[in-house]
This record gives sequence, structure tokens and C-alpha cells, in this order.
Amino acid sequence: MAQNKTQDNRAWLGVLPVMLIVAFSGVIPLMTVVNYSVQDILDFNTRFFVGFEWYRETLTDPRFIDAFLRQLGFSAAVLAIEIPLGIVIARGMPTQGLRASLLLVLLATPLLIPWNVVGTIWQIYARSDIGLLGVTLNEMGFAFNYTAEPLHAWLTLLATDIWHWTSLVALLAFAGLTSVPAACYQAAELDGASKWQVFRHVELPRLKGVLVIAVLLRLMDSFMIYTEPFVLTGGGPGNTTTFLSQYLATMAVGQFDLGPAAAFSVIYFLFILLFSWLFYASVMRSEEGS
Amino acid sequence: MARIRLQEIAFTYPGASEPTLQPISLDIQDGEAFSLLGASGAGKTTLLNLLSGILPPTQGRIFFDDVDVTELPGRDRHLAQVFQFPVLYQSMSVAQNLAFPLTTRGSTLNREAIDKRVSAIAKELNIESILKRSANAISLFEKQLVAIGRALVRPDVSVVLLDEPLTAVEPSIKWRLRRTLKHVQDELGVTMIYVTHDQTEALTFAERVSVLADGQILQTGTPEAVYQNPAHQFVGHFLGSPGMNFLPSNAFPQPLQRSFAEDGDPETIGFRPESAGLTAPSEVLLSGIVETQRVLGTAQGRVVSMYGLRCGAAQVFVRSPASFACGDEVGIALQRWVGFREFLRVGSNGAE
Repeated sequence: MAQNKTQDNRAWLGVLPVMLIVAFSGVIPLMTVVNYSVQDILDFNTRFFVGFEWYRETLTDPRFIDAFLRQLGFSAAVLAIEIPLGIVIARGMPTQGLRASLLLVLLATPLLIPWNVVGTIWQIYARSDIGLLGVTLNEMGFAFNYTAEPLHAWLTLLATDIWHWTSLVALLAFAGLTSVPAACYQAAELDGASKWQVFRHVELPRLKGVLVIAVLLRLMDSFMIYTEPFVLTGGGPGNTTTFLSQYLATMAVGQFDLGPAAAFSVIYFLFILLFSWLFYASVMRSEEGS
Repeated sequence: MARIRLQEIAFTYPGASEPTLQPISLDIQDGEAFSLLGASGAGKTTLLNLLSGILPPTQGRIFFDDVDVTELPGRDRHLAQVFQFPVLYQSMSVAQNLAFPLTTRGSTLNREAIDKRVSAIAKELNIESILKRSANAISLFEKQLVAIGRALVRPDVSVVLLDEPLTAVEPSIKWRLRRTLKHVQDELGVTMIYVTHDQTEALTFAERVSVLADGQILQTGTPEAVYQNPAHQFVGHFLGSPGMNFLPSNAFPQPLQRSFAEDGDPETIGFRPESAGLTAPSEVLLSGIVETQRVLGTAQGRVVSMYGLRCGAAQVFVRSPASFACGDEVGIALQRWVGFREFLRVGSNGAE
């Protein structure tokens, strides 16, 4: 059979445009970074091969490790708050009528605001001298000052991210909830299920798909967060809100350390890939296991 | 298990001008297999929702045994429902699904008693082999069996409502599920209310059937009685395939009209395709012209056909082993007929 099969390689020509686009937009730039990461670049003409030196240096750099741990903490906090909060909002929403439409528009609004504007909004809002939130908190007796207190800076950043992105989780969860058939709720009601059991056994299994997407999106996005802390705190006070992307930007653009920055980028990219893959694989495995 | 009594139950959707359900009274015996039969839009689902407590009746009372449950929420009525498509807790195993109603609020059974009950139900439905499987990983047929099992698992269940439970199941295994249901009903003696638009399902499952149209119960009786002696033209029309034939009594020849007159002088005569025969035309018989013929099969060595005949303005169907061709004039001999007081044109959705 195999010998009789007509061989026609012209089909490859059809794939060629896509391969070219992917090569120029993805593979070649990435490989350029990989290429930089194994060289020491002094100027445009002077460079020499250093092997894995930059990788070793980056992974043992205490500032990198600190930024990495901060990043982990930030992403974990964002997920731990935004996912449950989004679900709660989605469950509380009316499913039809004018109120539902208005709420959907309201929820979508933060998603339409550019990142740096969001940062600026909160930068002003939380200022202890003129910001509505900052002044109010101080009036109430909390000595709130996010430019001086690391904890306050963190809380402000978290509030910004939650304000900006919880809507996304809520909208995804809302879409998931609308697909739960009414009969499922009715059956649970007749079975005498409690509110928690209805959520746990009727809604959550059907939300699983959209929640996986929500967690992946929020994980990747929060892990790459740059604009908001850049506008809001500039990484301070000290380095307490300097996350990976900001440290990287300082290195690559500020100090022009192309080699170490490239190694940093590759490590950064691999970590995001690894986390996403670990999460996705564990979800898929639990799917098979059940 | 309970006896279900509906007392002048009626329902009108808020804002609607026409009631969806006219006042209905029904008395369903403890342990009875009861069926509600009607076309879509007849009010079957509304009646079911009133029973399960999703909708409050506009008027009337509902009694389970002698307890007035009209104001009780669904979960306190101790009823169970099987839906058109299998409703399962998809993240649980089959056994967990079956046990779920026993583990919720108000259930006092211990682990051992629950396991015992689950395995008894599983045995009854012959699904012991899939108990450990995930509810997601079984066939549609098995899923519906599990849903039925979950409806039956509570020992205190008062009534099981079945809302067209065979809709989603493939035709080839419908009869298996139907037989299982019937078997379980016989075995456990659970009061069951089976809602369907499918006359075969209703007539084979139930001890008594109510035929619904336009929010009213037209007739309640044994399948035999409802089929053979419809109290309303729509019932005759709706049951059977094709349904009952109707002709004004003055369309019949004189001698027949006289015998009708002795029997209450009905306006309309109905007869079923299988309770008439075709012979040569005669003075004393209803006459018709053969328009269509469709062979149904053989009976006692003779080919039986369904004939479509024109009788004046009306078309009637007669099942007969006789052999006629299209265009032949024939006599229609009635073996059995039902008289109706008035002549109604019968539509597909109800009496007009």
C-alpha cells in the first residue's frame, strides 16, 4: 500500500508562508536572544563566547532570586484572590435583563483601560497627600503611605491588579455558569443538596474548563507584570516591588548588559512555560484520574 | 411512597392572559405507575413543575398522602425526578452519585446503611459492574440508568417524576430502559408519574393514563379504556397511528343511523382503523373510494394493508387484509365504534 501511495511534496509549499511568518516573528528573535545569552557583548564588533556563564551568574544572583521569589508571591496572591472573587461575582450576577447587561458592561470596563493608565489611576488614587483612597485612609487613622511602606506598596499593587483583572475571571466564570442546565440545579435541589454542595458538585465541575483558562491567563500575565508597578511604585520602596520583568528591563535597557539580560530572558521564559505546563498537566491528570 | 392528590390545581403564568393549566383534579394511588400523555404545549411540564415545587399553583392544593405540600419547597416534598437527559454529578463516581441524596441535609443514614442501599439499587438496575467508574465515563444509556437509580435511592421517596426519560436514549435501547423502569416499578412499588408525548411509552408503562390537551385533562383511565373508549375526540385522534377516524353520523347509510339513534343518537361516530374491515360495496355499509394503500405486513398468511379512503369530504384509514387497488369503490364494515355528542374538528394540538 505504502509503495503505491502517490508522493506529492508540493503541499509543503502551502505551509511555507506560515513557517516563514512563525520563523521571523517567533523562532529567529528567540534564537537571537539565545545567541546573546551565551556571549559577552562589549560593543557591536567585540563579542566572545562564554558558554553558560551568564546562566550560572543569573541563577546565583541574589537580586534575581529575590525578584523571583517576590514574583512568585505576587502571582500566588493574585490567583488566590482573583479566582475565588471572580467566581463569587459571577455567581451573584443576574443572568438576564437590563441589570445583567449593565453589569457586564461595568465589569468589562477595567479590561479596556490601558495598563499604564490603570497604574496612573491607582498611583493618584492611593497617594497619601492628594489621593482619595490615601487621604481617606489617613483620615481614618491608618498611616497609609505606599511610597515608604513596603507592605502598603504591595497592597496597593495587589488592589490595582485585582481591580484590573478580576473582571476577566468573573466574565469567564459567568460564561461558564450560564452553560449549567437548569435541570442540574433542580436535581440538586430535590436531592436536598446544600448551597455549598450545589457549588462544589454542580457548578464547579462545569466551570473547570473556563477556570483552567482563567488561571493560566492570570498566572502568565501576573508573572510578566511590568507596567503597573513601573508606574505605581517604580519597584520601590527600595527593591520591595521590583519584579522579574522590571529587573530585566533595568539590566537590558538601563545597563545594556545584553548577555546576562538574554540569559535572564531565556530563564524567565522557561519558568513561565514550566509553570503553565505543570498546572495544565496536573489538571489534565486529575481529569483522567476521576 | 405516597398517594398524590391534586385538588383543583390551576396555573397561569404571571402576565399571561390564558391559563396554562385549567383546574385539574387527580388522585394517584400509592405505588401506582401513572402517566401524563399529551402533545408539547399541553401543559405537562407545567403540571410536573407544580408537583416538584418549582412553580406555585395559582389556585388549588396538592396533597402527598394527607399532608398539604402546596407551600412546601421541592426539597421538603421528598420527591425525585428523572429528566429528559441524564443529570449526574459529573465529578463523582457512579456509586457516589447514587449515594448523594442519602448524604445530604436531613439524611440520617450511616455509612454502612448507605452502602447497603446503593448496592441494592445498583443490583435492581443491573449496574453493579460500573459502580466504581466515573459518571463521565459511561454510556448515555448507563447514565440515564444511574439517574433513575439516584431517584430511587432514598427510602423515603414519596413519588418519582419522570420527564420524558427516554428522549435522549437511542431508539435501539429505549425498550430496554422502558422494561427496566417497568420492572423496577413493579419490584419496588414506587409511585411514579411518567410524563411523555409518546403514546407507546405511556400506554405500555402506566396502569392509568391521563391525556392532557390545552391545559386540561381530557380523560383518565387504564390504557385499554383510554384507547378503546375515548371520552373526547382528541383522545381518539391523539392515540393510535393513524388515530381514530371521525365521521358525522349522517354520513352513514340509513340502517346504521338507526342503530346509532338507539345508542344515544351521537352527532359523530369514531372508529379505529383496526376495528373496521373492507368488503365489496353494499347498500348497508359506509362506502368509500380507495386513495392510498400501504402494506403493513402479514397476519395469518395474508397481506395486511393500511388503506386510505375518501368518504365524501372526509378521509378515513382502515387496516384490512382485503386486496383492493386505488380507485376501487369499497364497503367499510364497522366492528366497533364510539359515539360523540358533537362534531369537533380535531387539530394536532388539541380540540379546536
